[in-house]
Amino acid sequence: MATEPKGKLRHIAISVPDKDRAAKFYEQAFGFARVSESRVATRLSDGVMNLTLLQFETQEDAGDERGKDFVGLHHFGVWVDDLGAARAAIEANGGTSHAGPTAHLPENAEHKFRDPNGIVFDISSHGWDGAKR
Amino acid sequence: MAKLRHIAVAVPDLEKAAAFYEKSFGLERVKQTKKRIYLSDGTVNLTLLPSDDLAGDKREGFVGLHHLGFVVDDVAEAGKRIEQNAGALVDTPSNYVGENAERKYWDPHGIMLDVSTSYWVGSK
Repeated sequence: MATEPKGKLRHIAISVPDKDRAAKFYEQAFGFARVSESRVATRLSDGVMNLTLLQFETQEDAGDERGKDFVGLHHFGVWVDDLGAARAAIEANGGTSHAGPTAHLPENAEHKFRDPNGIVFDISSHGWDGAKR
Repeated sequence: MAKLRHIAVAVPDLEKAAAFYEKSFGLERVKQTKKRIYLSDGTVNLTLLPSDDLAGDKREGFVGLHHLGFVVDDVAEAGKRIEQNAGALVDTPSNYVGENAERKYWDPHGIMLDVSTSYWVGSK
């Protein structure tokens, strides 16, 4: 009966010193559309994928050892049907829960993990702004 | 509008990493070569690269999110827009052949971006 739910890669987060400037690059070079903003994030979309530019103000925002000044590809996100089932599968296969940023981020940023190589990703059951399953 | 359809991750062990993404998220292995494993969720391609053999790159040994890939209508046109907006062409070795006939650029923050007119395997 149980068909394995397919996770969907729908979120890429890049940490930058100036999210507005970074957003302009992706808008102008690739035609991405700006879909939402918050204190620490500017979110873009190509209609399917969410691309989020993060500009952390504090170490707490950044939430891990890379710190607030890290510049580069920060994490990716997988849209799943069932957070509990996804968590169990991740942990059964060597992934580990990762506290991640604690404050001021959207609720879909709270389920953060590391894969067995330490690569950070998050999972969400309701997707990201501008993303489409 | 360009489409972000390729995520490349550098890992020390392709097979182990592929198994993690297959079992955790049900991603499907759509292609495999000696130096690549290509996974798909039906729309987006996730490519695993060997950390100890990152051709065209000085980040030898790097483990982590390595680059992104965009499907565009016209590579030359996209390249022009990238360069007009402070991106730059990646200086690849003369014998470098892209896996997906892509051209590689740096975004203004040094993030590597592939642009290609063809979809990466397993993406649409």
